[in-house]
Amino acid sequence: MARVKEKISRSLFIIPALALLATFVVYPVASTIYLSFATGDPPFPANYWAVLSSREIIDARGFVRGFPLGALLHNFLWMLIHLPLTTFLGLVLAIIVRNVRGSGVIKSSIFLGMVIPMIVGGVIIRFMFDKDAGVVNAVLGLLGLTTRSWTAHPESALLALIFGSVWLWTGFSMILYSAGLSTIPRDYYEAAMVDGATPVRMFFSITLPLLKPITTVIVTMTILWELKIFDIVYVATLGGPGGASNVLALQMYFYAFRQFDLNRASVVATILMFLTLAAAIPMITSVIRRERR
Amino acid sequence: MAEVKLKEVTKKFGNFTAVDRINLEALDGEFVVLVGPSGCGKTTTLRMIAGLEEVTEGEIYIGDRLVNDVPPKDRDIAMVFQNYALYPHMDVYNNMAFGLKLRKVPKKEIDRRVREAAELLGISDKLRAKPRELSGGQRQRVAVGRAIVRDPKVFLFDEPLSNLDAKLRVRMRAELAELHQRLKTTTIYVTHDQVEAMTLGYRVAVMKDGVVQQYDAPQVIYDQPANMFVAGFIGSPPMNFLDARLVEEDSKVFVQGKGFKLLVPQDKLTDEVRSFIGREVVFGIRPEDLRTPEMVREDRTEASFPGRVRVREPLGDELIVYADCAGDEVIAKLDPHLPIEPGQEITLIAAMERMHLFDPETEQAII
Repeated sequence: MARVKEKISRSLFIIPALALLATFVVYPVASTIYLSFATGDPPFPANYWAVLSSREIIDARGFVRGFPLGALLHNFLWMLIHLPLTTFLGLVLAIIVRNVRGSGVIKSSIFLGMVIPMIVGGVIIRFMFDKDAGVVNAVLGLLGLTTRSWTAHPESALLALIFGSVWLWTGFSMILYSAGLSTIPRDYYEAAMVDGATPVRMFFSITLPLLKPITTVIVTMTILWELKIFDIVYVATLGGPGGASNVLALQMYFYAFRQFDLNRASVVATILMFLTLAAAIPMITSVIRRERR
Repeated sequence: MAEVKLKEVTKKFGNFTAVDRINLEALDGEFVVLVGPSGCGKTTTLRMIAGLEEVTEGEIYIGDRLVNDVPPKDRDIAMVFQNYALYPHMDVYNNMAFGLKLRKVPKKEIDRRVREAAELLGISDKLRAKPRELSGGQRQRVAVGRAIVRDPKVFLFDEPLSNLDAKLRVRMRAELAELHQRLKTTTIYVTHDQVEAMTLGYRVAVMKDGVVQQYDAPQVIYDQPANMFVAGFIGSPPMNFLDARLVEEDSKVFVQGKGFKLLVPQDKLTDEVRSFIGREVVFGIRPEDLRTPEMVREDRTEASFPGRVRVREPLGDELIVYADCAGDEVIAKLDPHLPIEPGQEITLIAAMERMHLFDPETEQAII
C-alpha cells in the first residue's frame, strides 16, 4: 500500500513537465496533423494527394530532364550523399587526428562548421561556390578545370549545397568518434597485438564494433539533420534556381508563409514528422535496451 | 617452452628512467614473479618482454632469439592483462579463438583447443556468453583461457588477480599455481601483492625504482633479505627496524638501542659484523620473531627488552601488538591467548638467531 502511495506521489512530480510538453509539443503536433487533414471537401486525404502529386514534392519530369526532382527526393539525395560521406570522413579524421600533435587545434577548426550558425554557414557555402569569390573555384581554376557559380545552375545547385553541408557537418561525427575512440581501452589493442592482429584487422575487429553505439547516434542525428535541413538552403539558394535545390522544410515554409496554405504546409510538416520519427525510433530503442542491461 | 633472459635492460620515458639496467633470467618452465610497489617498473619490464614497450637499452631473449625488434605477435607469448581486456562484443568462445583465427589455425583445431581450455578452466557452459554476463572470476578464467589456447612459449601475467575480491583471489591463486604445474610453461607474473609473489613464484624478483633489489627463491628472500627495502616489503606486518649501535663488552657483542641491549649470538659474528663494532647499525627483527616470557621456557634475559602496549589487534590465529619501546614502535606477532591489554608493560624476547643487521648508510644487509 505504501509503495502504491509512493508511486502516486512520485508521479505528481512529473505533472508540471507533462503539462509543458502537452502545451508546447503534443498540442501543436496534434493540431498540425488535424490541419493536414482538414479541408472543405471530403475525402479527407485530399490534401495529401494534392501535395504528394505536386511538382514541388516529387517532380517526375526531373528523371528525364534533371533537376529539379522535387523536395522529397532532394532530401533523400541529400541523405544518400551526405550521410556516408560525413560518417566516413568523421571516422577517418578522428582516427588520423588521434595521434597527432596539436590535434586540439585541428579538431576545433574542423568542428567550427558545427559551431557557426547554419545561416552563416549557408552564406559561406554560397560564397565558397561563387565564381569569383569562392575557394572551390579557386582550387578548380588552379587545376585547370571549369569554374562557375555552382549554386546558380540547376544541375549543380543541390550538389553544391550537399557538399558544402558535408564541410559543415563532418566536425560533428569527428567529435563524436573522437570521444568514442578515447573510451576504447588501450588494453584491447594490446591484447590484439599479442594475439597477432594487424592494424587493419584491429580496426575491423575491435574499433568498428566498439564504435557501433556511436555510429548509431551519428547516423540517426545526421539523418534527422538532413531531413530538417532548411537554413543553409534558405540563405544560399532559396531552393532555386527553379526549385532545383528545394527541400521539404523549405517547401513547408513556402506553403505556409508565401502561399498561406496552412493545410498543405501541415501535410509537409506531418510527413516530415513521421520521417524523422522513423529515423529516430531505432536509436531510441537501442538506447533504452542498453540502459536496461 | 623457452627461457627468458633480460640483459642490462633499461627503459626511459623522456628523462625518467622506469627500468634501470636490470638482469633477469627465467628458466624453461619456471614461474617467476616480479613484485614491488606501484611505479617500481615491474609492469614496464613485463610490457617490454611482451613487446608492447620498446627497450631503450639492453637485450631481451626469448629462447635463444634476441627479440628487441620482434613485434609482439611474433614473440610467441601470451599475456593476461590486469583488467582482462576481453573483447566486449565477442562471446567467450570468440574471445578465446580470436588469436588462433588470426594465426589461420584450422577451424576444427580451434574448436578442439578452445573446448579443451574451457574444460580445464571450468567455463565450458559459458562459451556463448558475452564478457559482461560473467562474474569477475569467470572473466579472469576466460582471460587465462585466451592465453593458454595459443600454447605459447611464455605466459605473461600483469596483476591478473588485483580486480578480484579477497576470497576469490586466494582461490584463483591456487588455480593458477595448479595450472602452471600442469602446463609447465615459462611464466612471468607481475604483482604488488607479496603473498601472491611468495606463494606462486619459484623465484621472486623484488623491484624498486626500476632496479631489481633481490632475485631469489621466496624463502631466501624472507630469511635473508638483501636490504632494508626487501626486508620491509616482504612479510606482514613488516620487519621492525630499530636504530642501534654495536658494542663489545667482555668479548661479547651487543646490539644496543634506546630501550634495549641484546646479545648478538656467537655464530652471527662474522668479520663483516665485527667491522661494525662501535658503529651505528639498524637492527631488524620480524614481528613473528618476538615472543613474551610466557611463550619461551628458558631464561633469555640477554634477548629481552621492555615495552608498553599501545594497540592490540587480535586476528584469531594470532595477536598483533604495537608496543612502544623507549620511543621506538615495535610490532610483535604473539599468541592470541595471552592476556595483553593496551597500556600494559610487557617484556619482548627476540629470537636473536633470526636477527638482521643493516648498514644505515647503504641500507644493505650486514647479516
